[in-house]
Amino acid sequence: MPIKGRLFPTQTKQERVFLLIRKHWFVYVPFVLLFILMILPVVAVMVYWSFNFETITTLNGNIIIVGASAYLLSLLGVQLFGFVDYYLDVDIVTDRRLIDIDQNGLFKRKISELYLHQVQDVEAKVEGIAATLLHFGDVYIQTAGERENFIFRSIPHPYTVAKQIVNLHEQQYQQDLMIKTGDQRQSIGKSLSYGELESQAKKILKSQPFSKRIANPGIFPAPEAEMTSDFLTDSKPPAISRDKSRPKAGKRKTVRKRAKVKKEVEEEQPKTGHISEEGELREGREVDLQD
Amino acid sequence: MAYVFIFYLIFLLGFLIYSLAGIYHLWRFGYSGDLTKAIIIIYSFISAAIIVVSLFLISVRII
Repeated sequence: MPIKGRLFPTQTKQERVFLLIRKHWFVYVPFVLLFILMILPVVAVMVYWSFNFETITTLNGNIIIVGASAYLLSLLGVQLFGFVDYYLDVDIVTDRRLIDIDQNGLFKRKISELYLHQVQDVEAKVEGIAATLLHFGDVYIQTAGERENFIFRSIPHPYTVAKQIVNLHEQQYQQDLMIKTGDQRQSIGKSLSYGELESQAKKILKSQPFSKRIANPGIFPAPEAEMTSDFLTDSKPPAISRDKSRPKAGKRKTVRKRAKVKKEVEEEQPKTGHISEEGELREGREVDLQD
Repeated sequence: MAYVFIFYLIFLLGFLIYSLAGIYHLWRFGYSGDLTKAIIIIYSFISAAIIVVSLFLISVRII
C-alpha cells in the first residue's frame, strides 16, 4: 500500500512510495550495549553514595557532581549520535525510483537515487548467524552503465524487498511497453482498450524473457536475471494519467459520434479537401486507457 | 572550585550546540508519526534534568 506524504526532497505529487526501509534494529544493538556498559560506573557510584553519603560533603564533592553530570551528558550525546545515524538512514522505493538516504553522524548526509528503468539486477544477501536468525541482510541493485551500484545495507526481509523492486521494475517495463505499443497502434490509426494493451504487453513480455531483452538504455535496460511475467496477475499497473488536451469523458462520446457521422458522410461522398490529414489522425488517436 | 565550574559551563555550551545540531536533524529529516519527535522530547527532558540537578547540587554546596 502506498505511503502518503512527502518523504524526500525531490518527490513529486504523482509518485507513490511503496517501501520506506530503515536498518534492522540489530544494527543499533552496539549502541545499546555501549550505553549499558557506560552507565554501569554511574550506577556503581550511586550505590556507593547511598551507603557512604558523607563522601559527597567532602571537598571533592563538587568535582564528582560536575564529572558525573558531564559524563552522563556525554553518554546521552553518544546515544543521540547513534540514533541519528541509525534512524535517519532510510531507503525508499517508489513506483519510479529507488532513493538511498545515507546519514553519517550529524554533519554528513547523502541522498542518491536510481530510476527503476536503470535497474539491471537485484540481489539479496543474508550472511551470518544473527542475520539468518533475525531475517536481515543486504540488497544489491546493479545499475545500467557506469553508475555506482545501489546497496541497501542491513535491511529487514531483504528477499521480499528484492522481489518488490523487481516487481515494480517489471510493472514499469510493462507500462512503458504499453505506452510504446499504444503509440505504435495510434500512429497507424487503430484504437486500443486497456485490456488489449495489457494482453499485447503480456505477449511481448512472454516472447522476450528477462535475460534476452534487447538493451535500450534510453527506455529498457537489459537485465541479467531470468524473470517470468507472473507479476502481471498479481497486481494491476498504476493508472495512466489522462491526457489533458483530450476532451473529458462526457465530451468524448460527442467527439466519437461526430467522427462516426463524419466518416459515414465521407464514405458516401467522394473525398474533398475539407477533412484535413490532421483531423483524420486525431480521430484515429482515440485510445481510452481508462476503459 | 572556580576552575571546575568554568570547565562545566564551557562543557555545557558545547553540549548545547551539539544537542541543537542533533535535534535539528531529527526535527528536519524525521517523518510524521515516527520516533523522532518522541526522541527529541525524551532527550531534551533527560538533558535538562541532569543539568538542573547538577547545578542545584553545586549551588547548595556553594551556599
